[in-house]
Amino acid sequence: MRVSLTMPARGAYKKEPPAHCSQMSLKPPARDRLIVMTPKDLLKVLCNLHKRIGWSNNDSLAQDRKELEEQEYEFLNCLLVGDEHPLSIDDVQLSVCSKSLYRKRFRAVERCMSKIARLSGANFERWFSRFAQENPSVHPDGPCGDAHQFYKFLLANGQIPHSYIIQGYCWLARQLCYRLRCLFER
Amino acid sequence: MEASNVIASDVSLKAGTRLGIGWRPEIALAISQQPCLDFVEIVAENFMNMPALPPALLHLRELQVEIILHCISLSPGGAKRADQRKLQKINRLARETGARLLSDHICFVRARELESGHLMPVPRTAGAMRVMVDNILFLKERLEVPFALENIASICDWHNSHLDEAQFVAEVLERTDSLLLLDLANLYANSINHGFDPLEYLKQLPLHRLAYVHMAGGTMHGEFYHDTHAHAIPDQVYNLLATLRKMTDVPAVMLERDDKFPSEIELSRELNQLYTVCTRPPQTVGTAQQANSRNWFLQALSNN
Repeated sequence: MRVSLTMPARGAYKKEPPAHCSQMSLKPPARDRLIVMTPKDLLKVLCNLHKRIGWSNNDSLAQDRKELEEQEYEFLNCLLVGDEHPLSIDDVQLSVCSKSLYRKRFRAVERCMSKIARLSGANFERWFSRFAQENPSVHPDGPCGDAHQFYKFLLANGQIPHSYIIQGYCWLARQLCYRLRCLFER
Repeated sequence: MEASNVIASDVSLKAGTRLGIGWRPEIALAISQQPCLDFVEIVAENFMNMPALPPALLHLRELQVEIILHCISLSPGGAKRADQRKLQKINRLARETGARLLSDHICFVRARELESGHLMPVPRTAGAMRVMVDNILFLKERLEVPFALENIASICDWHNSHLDEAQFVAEVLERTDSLLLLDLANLYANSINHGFDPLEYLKQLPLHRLAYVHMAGGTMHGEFYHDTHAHAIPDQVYNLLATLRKMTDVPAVMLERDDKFPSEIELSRELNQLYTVCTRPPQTVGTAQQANSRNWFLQALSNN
């Protein structure tokens, strides 16, 4: 929002004061080139100006947020979904980063899944690739949330992990041993 | 085992740089066997929804090992401010663990509905800086413990950035009055991937804000260095730590390992090497001003 500092044209206030003057309780000037204001009026004008500048800063921050969101969304969209890459990022860097992110996500999910159920390597990766295409965004709850999402995806596609029960019991047993060890070491 | 005994037998450790490790469940037992540790860092998001802390962590606390919190999802460089409910949970966790420091990264992790699952670099523009500063001030108003910011490793960089990384980090820290969590492994990775001099980078940082240092390993894949946290710390990163010690007092140093977890002996060996670098007298001692500006974190740990 811009504040104009130009003087009013001759005779501009003869009919009725502009809207912003009435909001500020500014009386029309008695003479064209001389604005008569009481200290109280001056204070009001200054307060109003301060508010306007404040709004202007907030507007600017909101605009910055909007622009930043646009840039970052475009970036992530390119990395995760494979959309056209933004000009502000190097092509090779993006490609390496995208692969690296995919591998990291795969490893994280694999680690979490191994606590619940481990599928055979090749099968797991093939299904994970499909899963990542259909769900480009990592789960907001992190790797475990992602693993859970993947597990549901496998169930929905009839790929029930065959070793679920055995792996689950192994994991429980390991946890129990660990807790017992901690208990005895105290 | 021998390495950890060497550390334990040296009582001078308590008078110098503090030694810590990133606590992970996979190495919980190995960590509990390390008598040399002054603190452990836990990933806050992994514990904030848990009804209680794991027994292994409680055990460490009984041994007077300080617990500090590290966040990975507050996304201070994102377009949106952090979720208030999450901040409440983090505050509760800080009270529960007695943590006196909390940190996150200079990065973003989400945009609209997309979650990256990884720390992403922020475009280093004036607009992004304003948003980030506002987000961090919002965080700091609501967090009950002091806040530190960590530099990240990135393969991608924004061409439209107006500032270089060190300037951006320094400016964010100054404007938000935050502490610095300096990850030397990330600095090393970026210096290779983006071709800059890590020493020049260090010179531009407000080192009087240094809370502690992260040390980790990585590996080269093609032209890029990947900050994997799954390999041993390379010599170049140790050299950076030695250089940093010449420039300022380093209150605390921490080993980070997130994958391919080593055996207890290997872990001890790596901690021992870190300890050796931290206790070796630096060739150039920091100035009196630097010595006086040792932050609250060191003092807090010294009180234990």
